[in-house]
This record gives sequence, C-alpha cells and structure tokens, in this order.
Amino acid sequence: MKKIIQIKELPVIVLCAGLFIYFALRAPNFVDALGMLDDVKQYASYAILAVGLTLIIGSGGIDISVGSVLGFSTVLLGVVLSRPGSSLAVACLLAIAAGTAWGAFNGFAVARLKLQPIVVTLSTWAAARGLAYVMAGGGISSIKLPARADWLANVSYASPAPVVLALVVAVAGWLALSCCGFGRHILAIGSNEQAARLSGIDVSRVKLLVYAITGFLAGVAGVITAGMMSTAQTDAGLGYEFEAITAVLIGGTSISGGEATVVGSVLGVVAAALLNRGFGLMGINDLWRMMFLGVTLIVSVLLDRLRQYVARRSAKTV
Amino acid sequence: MRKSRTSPIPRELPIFLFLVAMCAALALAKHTFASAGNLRAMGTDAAAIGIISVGMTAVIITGGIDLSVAAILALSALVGGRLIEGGQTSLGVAATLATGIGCGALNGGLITIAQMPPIIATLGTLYIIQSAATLYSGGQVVYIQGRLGLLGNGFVPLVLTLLVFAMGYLAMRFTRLGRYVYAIGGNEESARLAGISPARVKMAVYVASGLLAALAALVTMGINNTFQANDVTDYLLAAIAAVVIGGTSIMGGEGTVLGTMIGVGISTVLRNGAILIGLDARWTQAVIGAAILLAVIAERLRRR
Repeated sequence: MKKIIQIKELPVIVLCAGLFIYFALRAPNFVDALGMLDDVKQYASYAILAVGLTLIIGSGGIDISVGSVLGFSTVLLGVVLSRPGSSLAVACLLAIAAGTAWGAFNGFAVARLKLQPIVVTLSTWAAARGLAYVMAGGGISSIKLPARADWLANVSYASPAPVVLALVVAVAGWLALSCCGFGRHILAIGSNEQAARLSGIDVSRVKLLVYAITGFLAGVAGVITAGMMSTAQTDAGLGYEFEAITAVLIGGTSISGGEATVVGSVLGVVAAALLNRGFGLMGINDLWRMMFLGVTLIVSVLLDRLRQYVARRSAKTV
Repeated sequence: MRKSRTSPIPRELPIFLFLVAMCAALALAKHTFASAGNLRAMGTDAAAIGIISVGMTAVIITGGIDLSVAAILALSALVGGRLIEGGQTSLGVAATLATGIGCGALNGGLITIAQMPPIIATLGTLYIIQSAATLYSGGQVVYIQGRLGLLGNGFVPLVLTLLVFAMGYLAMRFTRLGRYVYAIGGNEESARLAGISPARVKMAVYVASGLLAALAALVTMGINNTFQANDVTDYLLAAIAAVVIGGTSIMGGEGTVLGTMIGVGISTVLRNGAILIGLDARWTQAVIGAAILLAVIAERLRRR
C-alpha cells in the first residue's frame, strides 16, 4: 500500500526535478534563492486553495467556486477597511468568516440537499463574484487598502510569511488526510460513498466539513491576496479554480475520488511556479506555460491510467 | 428515465412559465422591452451562448462536459478570421468550421480512445486551445471588415440561433443518434450491452460541440466585426448555466434542448431586464447564480 502511494506522486516529482534542472541550466539567474522565494510567493494562495481542493476531490466532489470566494473575501476586507475606524483584525476575521460561510453553504447544499457539487459550486462561483462586484460598487475595480492595513501588506508582500503559511496549511492538510480518521473517512467516501455510509461514517458531516474547510482556506487566501497587492480587487482570484484544480490533478489525486495526495498537489503548484519563473527569465511568452500545463495534465492522467493498468496486471500474476 | 414522455406535465413547463412571467412583468413595466429594437438586441446577446449551449446540452446528457467550448470558439474565430481579414472569405469560413471540428475530434479522441474523464480531458484542451488561440493571434485583434456582415445584421443572429435550437431539438428527439445519447447518459454499460457503441456516439457529440462553437465564432465575428482571443472567456460558464437552468441533469441521461433554450432565454432576459429597469447591472451575475441554484433545487423536488 505504502509503495503505491509513493509511486502516485512520482510523475509530479520527476516533473519538478526535470523543470528545476532544465531551468537551472538554461535560464539566467534561475537558482537565486531570494528571487525564487519572491516568485514562489505569488503561488502561495494557489497552494492554499489546492490543499482544500485535494480534500474535496478526494471525497469525490469538486469546487469551482474557490476563485470567486477568494475574490469575495478580498473585496469584503477592502470594504470593511475603508470604513473609518474599523480595525484590521476585525476585517481579516470577517473576510475569513465570509469565505467559511460560502464553503459551508456549498457543503450544506451538497451534503444535506444532495445537489451535484459541480452545479452548486457553479452557482456560488457566479454569486460570490457577482456580490463582490456589488459590494465594491462597480465592475472591475479596486479598493486601495488604508494605512491601517500596512502591517498586512508588509507581512504578505515583504516577508516570506505567505509561503510559510502555505506550508503550514499543506502540513495540516497532509496530517488530516493521512494520519487521522477524518482523512480515512474522506477517502472512503470518495471511493465508495454507499459502503462508507453503511460502515457507519457520517457522510454528510464529513462532506460539509471539507467544503467549509476549503471555504475557510479561500478566505485566508483572499486576505493574503489583498495584502500582497495592497489593494482589494474585484477580479482577485479570477480563474484560480482552473489552475488549482489542474495542480491537484497533476499531483496525482484522482478526479473520481478515493485517492488523494496533498504532497502531490503542493508539488503541482510548485511545478506551475517553477514554470512561471523559468519561462519568465527566459523571456518565453506566458501562454506557453498554459500550453505546457494543459499537455502535462493530459499526460499525467494518461500515466495514472497506465500505472493503474500495470498495478492490476501485476496483481493478477501474483 | 426521461420524464418528458411519461409525466403529464412537460418538464420545461415551470421554467417556461417563469420566463413568460418575467417577460410579462418587464413588458408592463417598460414598454421598450417588447420593441423590435430590444428584441434584436437580446437576440444578438443570446446568439453565441445559445448556439454553444445546444452542443453542451448533448454533451452533458451523455454524462460528460466540455470545458473547452469557449476556447474552441476563440481559436476557430482567429484562424478563420485571419483569412477573412485577408479577403479569402469562403476559405476563412471553411477554416473556422474545420478548426472547430478538429478541436472537437481531439476532445472526442481523448475521451473515447484514451478513456480520459471528460472534465480532465477538456480542462487540458481548454488550456491548450486557449493558449494556442492567443499565441496564434499574438494578442492582436482580427478585423473582418464587414465581410460576414449578413451574419450579424438585424434579426439574423436570433433566427440562426433558433434554427440551431430547432435542429438540435429534432436531432435529440427524433433521430437514432439522439436516442443513443440519452441511452449512454442513462446507463452506459446497458447501452453498450444493447449494441450501442458509446465511443462513436461520444465522438459525434464532442465533434458537434466543436462545430457549433465554430458556428458561434462566425456569428460573433459577424456581430462585432472584430475578434480578440479573450473576448469570450465568460461564455463557457454561461452556457453550462443555461443548460443547468434548463433542467438538464449534470449526471447525464436527462434533459432537453427545449429546456436549454428557455435557460438561455431566462439568463438573457435577466441581463437585459436589469439594464432596462435601471436595476444595477452588477446584480445580474449574483442573480444568475441564485437562478442556477433554484433550478437544481426545483429539479430535485420534482423528482421526488
């Protein structure tokens, strides 16, 4: 069992190592710790979203609302802060609470109302972004954070705190998934919901929790995003759902649920970050990065198919 | 199974009544709503999303999804648009349609031959096709200089969209392929045992989706006279939303093209009505989100 789990992340490990070596040889100044940290920091919020999505996809669900929820939290933070006299702590807490509420709503609709995750989160994808526009009082606009938020801006922009936070979230996600009953329940639901229910797992509670956790993480990512930009933009997080889901799938988590790896997802985000930095330094159009990610996604799923096929074959011969 | 033939109440009736009520209220509140000019504006607004949502309906009924439609629209518009810009109009139109068919066949191949889950295959091709479109055009705008003028004029987009809906309706309801689409979405294994080739049907559906995206590309170029790669990124989720509001089950096996047409109507009238009555246009996206949720909850209740 342990052996199979190790193999699951193999493609993404090879991918990261290959990209690192290639860019170290070809891209000027690629191996520069400070510059690297700066670039990786841009991907901290993707990593945080990817950890939540790993839990959801592992349970057999999907959440395409994460980017919009991130945007909603960012804008809420900006709106609250632009009220005179509001404190930074209250604004951050409200933004994170709002993200958690969106996630809990998704979870409620999926777990209790038994609606399809893709449809539920499509509706919150539209609604959260729409309400973010309404709150900000315009189409695509931005709210400059006041001086009270300087601490947040400094911490997220000028220190490696976002990367540290992303790592903490990743470790917590890894622990949750591999070292406790909650993680086993998530994967049991993802591989066979009916069997999980019959074996006494409170399926709807677990589902509600994974969506709420992801909403919470999207709220946290929203606060970081606002801090890094020093502004709250209504289009913050636009399209993040696709990139985060892609990282999770490249990492080796199965779209049909039951198999999930937080380590793989984080490495999937690292691969995207390496590509971004390498292509940037080599002066290659960012669109080639998108193209590369698309091809990698397809190839990694084909490799996963091959791995399962080989595993079945060897299981038969033994 | 499909309730449309067994239940005495057509499944589209509730959303149809909702659409009618919305139109009636708007027509009473604002006499400009029912004017020819406004109808034409709404037809133009709905055309491209309507055309791609017909293909999306069939794809979703097979139990799949096509996340790449908007990207296909962009790539085929740019490939064909370049030729049209250079004066080769008929070659350009052919190239647009061929690009759409080719991209659809790529999706179909990944899903049927390589056996990939549709959501992943089309997420991958979404990236590939979208970036190919932007790389091909270099971010430049294509100007077609009125060479497709007829396609974008007056009521032509609306009529064309209705024609596509009518053909989709007939194909899904009265042809063998249409019955196979429902059969595969209902239960792929039993469809296979009944002698249907799921691979062939799925290939046909994804190619049709690509072709319709290319047709939508021509209509969009005709209407706007210009095209840029990132003009249409909103269309993907708008099309899925229309299909879902129209009562098609995301699990496959259930749904109708008629429902999707009403779904497109609802989201178009919502957008248009919000502007007409001076309701803040910013609310529309939030309202469409709520409409999707209401539609699935209603669908859930109906099935009980």
